[in-house]
Amino acid sequence: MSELNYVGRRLPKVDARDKVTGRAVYINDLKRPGMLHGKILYSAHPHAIVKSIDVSRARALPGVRAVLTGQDIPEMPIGFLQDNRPLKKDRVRTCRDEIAAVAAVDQETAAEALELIRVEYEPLPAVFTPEEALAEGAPLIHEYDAKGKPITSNKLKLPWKLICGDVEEGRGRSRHVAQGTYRTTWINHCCLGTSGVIAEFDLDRNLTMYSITQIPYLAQNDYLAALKAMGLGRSRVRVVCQTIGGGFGSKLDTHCYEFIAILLAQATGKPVKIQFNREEEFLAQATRQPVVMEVSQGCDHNGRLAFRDVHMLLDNGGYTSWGATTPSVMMVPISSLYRVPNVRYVADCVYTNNLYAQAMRGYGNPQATFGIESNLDQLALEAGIDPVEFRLINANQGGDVTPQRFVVKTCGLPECIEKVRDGLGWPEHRKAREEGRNRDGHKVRGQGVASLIHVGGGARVYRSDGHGMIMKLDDFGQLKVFTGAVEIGQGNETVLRQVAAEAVGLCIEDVQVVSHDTDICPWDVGTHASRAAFISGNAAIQCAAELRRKIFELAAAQLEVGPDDLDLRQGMVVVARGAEAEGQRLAVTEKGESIPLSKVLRRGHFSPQGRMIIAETFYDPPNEMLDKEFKGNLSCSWAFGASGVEVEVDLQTGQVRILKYLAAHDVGRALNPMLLEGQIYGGSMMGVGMALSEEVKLERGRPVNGNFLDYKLLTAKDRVPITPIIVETDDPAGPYGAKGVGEPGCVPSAPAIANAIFDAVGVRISELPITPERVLRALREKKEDYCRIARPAC
Amino acid sequence: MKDISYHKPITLEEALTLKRELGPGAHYISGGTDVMVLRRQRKLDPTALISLLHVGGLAGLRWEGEVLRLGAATTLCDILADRGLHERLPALTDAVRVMGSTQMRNVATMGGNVMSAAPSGDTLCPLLCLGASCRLVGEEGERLVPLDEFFVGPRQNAARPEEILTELVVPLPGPRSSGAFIKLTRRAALDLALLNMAVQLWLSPDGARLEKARVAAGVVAPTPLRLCGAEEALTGQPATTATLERAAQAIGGECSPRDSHRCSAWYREEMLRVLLVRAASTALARLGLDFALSGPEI
Ligand SMILES: Cc1cc2nc3c(=O)[nH]c(=O)nc-3n(C[C@H](O)[C@H](O)[C@H](O)COP(=O)(O)OP(=O)(O)OC[C@H]3O[C@@H](n4cnc5c(N)ncnc54)[C@H](O)[C@@H]3O)c2cc1C
Repeated sequence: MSELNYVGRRLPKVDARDKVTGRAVYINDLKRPGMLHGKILYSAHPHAIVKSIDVSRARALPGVRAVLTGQDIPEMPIGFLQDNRPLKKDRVRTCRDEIAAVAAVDQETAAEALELIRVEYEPLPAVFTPEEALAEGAPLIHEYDAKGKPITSNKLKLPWKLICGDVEEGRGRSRHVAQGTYRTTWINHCCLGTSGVIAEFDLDRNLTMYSITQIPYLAQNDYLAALKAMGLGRSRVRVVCQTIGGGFGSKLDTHCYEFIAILLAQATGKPVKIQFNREEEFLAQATRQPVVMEVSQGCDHNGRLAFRDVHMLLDNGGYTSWGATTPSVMMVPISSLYRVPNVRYVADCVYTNNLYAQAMRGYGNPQATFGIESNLDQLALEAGIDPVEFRLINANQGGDVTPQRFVVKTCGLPECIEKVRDGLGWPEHRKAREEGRNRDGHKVRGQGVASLIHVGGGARVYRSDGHGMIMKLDDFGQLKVFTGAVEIGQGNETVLRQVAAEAVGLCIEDVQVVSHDTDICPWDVGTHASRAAFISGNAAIQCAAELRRKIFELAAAQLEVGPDDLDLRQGMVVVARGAEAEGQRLAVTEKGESIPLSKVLRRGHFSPQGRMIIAETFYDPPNEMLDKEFKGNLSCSWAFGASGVEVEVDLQTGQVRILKYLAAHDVGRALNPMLLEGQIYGGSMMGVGMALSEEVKLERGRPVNGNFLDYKLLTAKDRVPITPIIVETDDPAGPYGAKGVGEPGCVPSAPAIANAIFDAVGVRISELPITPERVLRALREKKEDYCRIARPAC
Repeated sequence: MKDISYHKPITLEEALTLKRELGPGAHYISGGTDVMVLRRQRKLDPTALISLLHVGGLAGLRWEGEVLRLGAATTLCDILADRGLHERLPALTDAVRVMGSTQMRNVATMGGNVMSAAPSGDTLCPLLCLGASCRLVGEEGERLVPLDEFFVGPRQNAARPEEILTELVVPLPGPRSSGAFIKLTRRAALDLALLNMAVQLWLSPDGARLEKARVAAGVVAPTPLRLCGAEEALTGQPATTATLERAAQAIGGECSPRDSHRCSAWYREEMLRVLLVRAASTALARLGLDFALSGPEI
């Protein structure tokens, strides 16, 4: 490939200036003519029969245009298992359950109306942990499934079970075995832009949704189903996305509030906006799945992994979102992080009366990796092998086919581990530790490492992992790229612009991306699975080839050369490849053998039976759907990485400070190193938050810290000194060799930190978040001298 | 929506008249960083707000001989802008430096922090240690109330509803004294204290003993609290680590930390002792003694 003009360059985000100057239009900013404001009344109980709802006073309040309850709406099941409905009818199952909704002329009136609604409940016994929910005699949270069949257990009928090889055989021949139980908790995505939508019908009863979804086309499908249930089976749906103030997986489902907006818009004939405040975001927006996992792993006398056995219990909460399929991605590290021949993974999702859980950055991978990588350090200790050495012994290699049948074409894991080791000064630290020099008064330093594997080339979780794209050139040589992908702040539109300019052969200033509108842009499955840059990049390359073919065909006729003799570079059509040598006559020789593309286009347009240049493509990566045994090459490229952390633990307070944080990522190729580093910084901060501070605390299923004072999202002042390390492996499947990198940053943080704490003070914290209290309690429970224990023989 | 009238008096008399005329629904407001939050939480439902920021003479610092007169409308960022203040009253600037965020410190006032009387209010412990008083002006004239008598319950103070805090009067502790403040939080900014503590220590002329000691802690009781047991254990003793540790053990019955979702009582209780030793060490290090500082100096 010839020299690249744009790929690999540190270009700032195209939307950066709009965002910092306040010009970007978020859903919060958007108003439609005649728009009403919707507000939702949530349940007062985590589990109860709704005996009666009296909305008469709310309806009578001046300014109120509609009040709806579960009784007023048609049956319209929603959610992955269709076990949810926009407004609950006879029964509430969580404190976030929607009981009634109001549309009024302004937010305040809507809020006032909610207070006038009287609901009579009959509380039911409730369960708040998966263990309680599975206990004998536990109340059933759902009594019937979507088909009306009776349900007999709170365990979801989703049989997550992966068996590779023979775990018992592996256990039998293991010289060393480590086992442990690990717990993660409820985590909110904390998008700076809270959830919001405007639903608007036109006079033909076609619906436009001004939305912030990550999945416009799947959402369109869900809305169409809802319209059908509402008797509007012939209506069309258009989804127009606004500037999205953060996604992180929170917008991979369609949520109750969106359907409520549709119902209110239909009831009033007006556009209706629902915009959450932060408290609602913490209450009603679904979170990351909490898991309890039992992990055991064993290795032979050389330190080679012989088996991995993982049993997991996931708290699904009261309803089922796509998040209940996160075990399909948890399988990725469980089966394929390091070379491990024998694997067993069984996961149960369980209904409880908590909130409910959904997708979040990493799609279960951070939880699973916390268990595996914490446990791996314990195993290294058992085996008496240095944790970094142990990881290198077992690291994946390019050319591997893993037990789950993932085909690893390129693998930078060993290099990532080595770079992190060197960046940390690992050997020097070991020595300092041996000599007790890692302690200064009551502060002790420790280092820890953890790795990751994640889908790097899309993931076939839906039947199509495809992406449609149209490229259209105008008379001036300007290219519009119509993409189905949505920008959620990660920088996809910037990278897509770079790739399109590169692949077509234009100046980047002449390329614009058009997106966020289902009426205009072709289908895409959604912005998830770290796939947008990979898939839309490949689509752009594919589409560019078609566009160039058409350009050269047009130019060839004008220039009287063969299309194969032409090239397009920075907007100039260039005669290349020794056309003269073949004795052809060249119309352009006197002009230096090149002609502006715009001229070619205009000549093509303004001639008899003129034509314009438009190309379209649909790119679906060569990914496989997992088979009945959950095996297959889910992604056509695999991303790897390792994080290395140095912490300082305060023996008196249990506080943990991060002194160094190295994040090495095999990204295939850095399309835009600046944005890539942004993803690594952001992902790492999210991972550190998960490790140390973030938790939606529930009391009887209700958040008690649902605000940014008490929910400890870390701030810029917490200054985690993150150093991104980019490892390039040039993956043959990726656009210019790139792999996806949106999610991986947050995957290995928690175990790397937990391992560093163990290294420092010899206590293993296996429950997140690792609060100072938990550390101090563990230190207290440990009777021996911290310093001696902190120096295991290795 | 209910309308709130907003008033901007420019004299104390005008402010008091407004308060009388507008009745019990009227609240004073300075920076508003407490008032507006409470209103949104519906813990305060004002019908009128009387801003004190335009009243003449309420803002700024005045050094007068042995006292510092700190105007109620002085913002937290004004406090940090004054280098002399950090040299002479480091416990107070330690506290202000870790309050809220830059944006919040630009508008929040000293008077607002004191009048809020939150158990976690960060300037309260340093002011208690310094022996500060507050000057209140009301219908019945002016009075000076020592802070030791001012905090009467969580978010309750000894001022009458119409009284305006005009200034804090802080006796200067002199060259042989220094102090320190430590706040225990879960993150570096925008966080309320799980526990906070201030210490002010006075050395004997020969520098060998602690002539006088003041210790106060927050979030361990309904109000910020002087820890008398610890103060007694320090007074008259040599300035050694052993003394500080004995004082930590002498923290006693006056504290009643609670379990909450923010923090458990046992942890607060243990941290009280840790913070005491660390804050006192920092104060002594600032007096040039061979003790470790617990945080970075500015
Ligand atoms: C984001 C954020 C972070 C915060 N962080 C901290 C923190 O770290 N530490 C901390 O201690 N606090 C913190 N606070 C609380 C608050 O900001 C402080 O207490 C601040 O000092 C209050 O000052 P103010 O001028 O804004 O008070 P206001 O909100 O204006 O007033 C507070 C109270 O005092 C009364 N009042 C104000 N001035 C006078 C006066 N002159 N005379 C009589 N009554 C008066 C008001 O009627 C009201 O009851 C935080 C608040 C926010 C919003």
